[in-house]
Amino acid sequence: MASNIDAAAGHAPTPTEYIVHHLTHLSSRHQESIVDFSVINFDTVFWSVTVGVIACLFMWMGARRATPNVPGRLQSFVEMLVEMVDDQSKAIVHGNRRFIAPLALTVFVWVVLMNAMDFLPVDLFSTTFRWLGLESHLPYFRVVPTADLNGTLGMSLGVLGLMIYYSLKIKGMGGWLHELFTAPFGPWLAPFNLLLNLIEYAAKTVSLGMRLFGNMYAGELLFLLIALLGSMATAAGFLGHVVAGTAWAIFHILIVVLQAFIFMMLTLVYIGQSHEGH
Amino acid sequence: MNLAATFVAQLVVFLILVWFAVKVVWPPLKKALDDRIGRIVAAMEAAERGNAELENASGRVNAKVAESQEEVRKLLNDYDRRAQTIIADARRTATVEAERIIASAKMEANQLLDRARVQLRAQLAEIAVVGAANILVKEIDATEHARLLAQLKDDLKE
Repeated sequence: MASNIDAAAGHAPTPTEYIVHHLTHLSSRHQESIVDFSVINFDTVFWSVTVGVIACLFMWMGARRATPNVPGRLQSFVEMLVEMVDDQSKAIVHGNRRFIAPLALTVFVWVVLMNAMDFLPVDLFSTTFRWLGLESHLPYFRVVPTADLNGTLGMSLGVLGLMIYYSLKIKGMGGWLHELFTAPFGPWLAPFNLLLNLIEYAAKTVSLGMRLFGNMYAGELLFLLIALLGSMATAAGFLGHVVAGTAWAIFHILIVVLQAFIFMMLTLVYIGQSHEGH
Repeated sequence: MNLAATFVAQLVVFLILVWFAVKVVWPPLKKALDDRIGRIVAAMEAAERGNAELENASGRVNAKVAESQEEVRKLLNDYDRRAQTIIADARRTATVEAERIIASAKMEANQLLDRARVQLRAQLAEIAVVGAANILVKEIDATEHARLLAQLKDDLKE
């Protein structure tokens, strides 16, 4: 049976080819350099937008059916989420939270759903496309937007923009510039202060994006490695795949929620820091 | 490597994950949701009970207030009536007393009048006798004199 499929597929990929294939994005063209803004990863855009729409629909349904009477389970679930995020934002951000708390809620739900795409079997889409004969149109298709550094860094750049926006809003241009040059060592070490603050902003932004990306990328990679066990097409390989895959998938439930929670909390912390002087 | 074999294994893992989610993840989540809903239901029932009790209590208070108002009105009426009675009694007593005083005063006045009349009669008789004696300048029989006087007295009495 194995040889049949191999024959049908032309040639079976080697493990390296398999993994490289699964870690390649469906992009507008091949990315040559590390930073190339002319390349668009269609799969990341597609899935992040799709999942974002689903997240919005979910929250909208919770809000639309909201009654002051006894809530249903959906409303109750959404209310619990809102309460959790609101409590956290209340504790972290001291100021007007009319935009920040809903932002944190959106970030949390969106990132959870994007991370949760990792639960789908890694070969689900490539196999489906092969059956439908779409292989040539969709040769690559990654489903976890947060396992793409472009996705996570895009979000952390958004957070950087909000950090700067709230610094300006709360402290004013003069106050913020003063803080950039005088904190933390005082006015006599202004250049070092500026350098340190710029490094701090860069570190916050990069670490925020990198942390989520690294966790989800590692999770996906481990699923791919486990998939190699199953591809041995032996009883031991199958058993190993099922046991290891199940264990990792169950553990991944924790990672998916935890990483989304961390991303939300850090977003709140960074925006909260913009509300407070050094 | 065999893509079909690994895909089958991946599907098995996915099904186990779904089973796990349904069996292990969902129940505590469902319990938390149902507990929360239960708490809300209980809180709303308690609020409703409280409202009903408040309504009851305010009804009872209103009834009590109306009752005591009625009582006060009754008491005021009673006192009013009693006051009227007392005034009427006093008036009646006063009238009776006044009549009695008037009557006795009248009687006294009559007696005084009678006595004065008797005295007046006596003096008039004497004056008449003296007058007559003076006119006659003549002793008259004293006995006859006394008899005439008595007759005159009697005549005057009538």
